[in-house]
Amino acid sequence: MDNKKSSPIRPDMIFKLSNRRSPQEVKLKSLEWAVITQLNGEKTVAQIGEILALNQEELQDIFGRLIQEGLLELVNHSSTTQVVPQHLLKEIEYILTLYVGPIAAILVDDVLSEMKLERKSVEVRYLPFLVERLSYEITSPEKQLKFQREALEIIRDLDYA
Amino acid sequence: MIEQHFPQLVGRKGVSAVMLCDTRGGVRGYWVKPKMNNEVLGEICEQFVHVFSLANQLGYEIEELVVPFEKGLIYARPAEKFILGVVARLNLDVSLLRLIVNVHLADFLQDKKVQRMLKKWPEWSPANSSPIKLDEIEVQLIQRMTEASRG
Repeated sequence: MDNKKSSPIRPDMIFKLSNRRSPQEVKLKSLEWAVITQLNGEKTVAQIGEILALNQEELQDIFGRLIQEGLLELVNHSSTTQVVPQHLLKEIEYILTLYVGPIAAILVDDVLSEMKLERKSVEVRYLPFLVERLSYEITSPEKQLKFQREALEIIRDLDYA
Repeated sequence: MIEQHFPQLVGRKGVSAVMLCDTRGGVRGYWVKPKMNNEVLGEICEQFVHVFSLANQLGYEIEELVVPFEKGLIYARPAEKFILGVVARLNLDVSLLRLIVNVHLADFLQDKKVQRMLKKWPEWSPANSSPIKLDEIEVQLIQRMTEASRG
């Protein structure tokens, strides 16, 4: 089974059966069927692994195959959320400094506070909105866009799923 | 054209279709995910034009439109001579979508070839939308939408 090209399956991911393809259309192994029967759009990969006594490598293989066959749809991650690495926030703050000067750090804190977030625990899903919100602190529309462009370069490849 | 000018949309997980509609509801360019039916794009463009034309007639300025549906969302951004539309899955963050569209759209409009191309495209005009009269509920609906978009 070649899953080298498939994306990593994280334990907190939640899948459901896709409406686009039925498992009957694919020749599945018994363990793959076992996983299919556990999918309900609520159980995480880790929970299914625990129920079926599968290790991470087996889960990667099985989910990777099912995804490749187009049988699964990612519902969402569980409450285990991804937090933005601190260096990334610092980079964004540095870029903002180039546009608004040393007040950038204060602006970042202010905006985070408005969003009811703390620096150390900003979830990845809030990052685009944070960048957008910070850009409004720049008066010139051209510079706003420039800031958005530069920040987007940094945040675009994060996993927002 | 779409792949060239909107690469971060085309390659993004969760994006199913990107389309460029002219002000008459014509599809001037599009990209769709493999296996996605592209026949629906024309209808979406017509609806975009209808909504934005009506809003113009009512004097509302809608900067963007986000319409969630059962399994996804439709995002539309009007410009001087076109509407950029995106069909995406619901889990795609709208702020991220907006950010990408901001950046790509600015580059698109700066491109000399695009500027020459846009000169040939029709302007917005009241005649673009269907000559129907709105009933009270439709007017209220548009008012609510525009109020929501103004935040």
